[in-house]
Amino acid sequence: MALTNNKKICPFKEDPKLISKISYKEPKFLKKFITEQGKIIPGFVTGVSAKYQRLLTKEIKRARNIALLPYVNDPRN
Amino acid sequence: MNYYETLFIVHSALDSSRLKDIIVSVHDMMGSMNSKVYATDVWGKKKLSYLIEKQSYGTYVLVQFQSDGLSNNKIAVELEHNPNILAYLTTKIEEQKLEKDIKSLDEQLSTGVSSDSENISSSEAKQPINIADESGDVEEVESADGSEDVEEVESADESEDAEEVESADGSEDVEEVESDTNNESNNEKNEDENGTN
Repeated sequence: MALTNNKKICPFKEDPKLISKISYKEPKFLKKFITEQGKIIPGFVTGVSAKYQRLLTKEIKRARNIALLPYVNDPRN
Repeated sequence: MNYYETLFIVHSALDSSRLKDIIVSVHDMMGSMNSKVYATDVWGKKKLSYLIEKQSYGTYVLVQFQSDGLSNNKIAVELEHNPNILAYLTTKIEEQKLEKDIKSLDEQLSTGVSSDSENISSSEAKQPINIADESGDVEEVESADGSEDVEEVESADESEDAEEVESADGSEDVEEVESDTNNESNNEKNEDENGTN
């Protein structure tokens, strides 16, 4: 079995300008980090580092509270 | 004194004058509680992600203010008891995040309420420009780092390489050889035919 180099790079460390977009007022940006069902995608899948994943989850939950993002979403509808 | 911002959703059925009354009443209420309002941004009518009080649309209003923090509970109670406000969210912000270059409330309401759809489209039109860059980056990262990468690696390492090797060493060569032998045999036949003729 060959060793593969699939090292993930945090998008916020690649482009620090994106850090300012981690806000509940940017639901379209936050949608990139939730699934179709509305679940938060874990950092090991997206490559987001723990530091920014903490900020993301906080802001996603705020956006859910004010109805900018869904708590649950049925993709069939 | 810290800076805070409150985003609240007003009932979308209200007209511009009622909306302005509600916003002004919120300003007055905040002013009476030793808070200083810095900026008000009317986002306009937006679709809610889920129903709130059986409403699927609401008008979002963002108010940024300075407060000592002790009066925030009173502000929350007032917003909670206002029947025209569907939901609200108060967060602490830093001074750098105070919004600047915001139009006056009258201008925002005159442009926003006369054409709600235009306001929504303009507010959404602003975002895709920013998000187009970001989303591209993020999608690249997701696709590069996520499961697809793993699939690519697996397929590249195992099946495709194996096929390439097989096809490179095996069948094509065999076909070439066969085609060569066929040509030779055809030539021989032709020679034989010529010989016989």
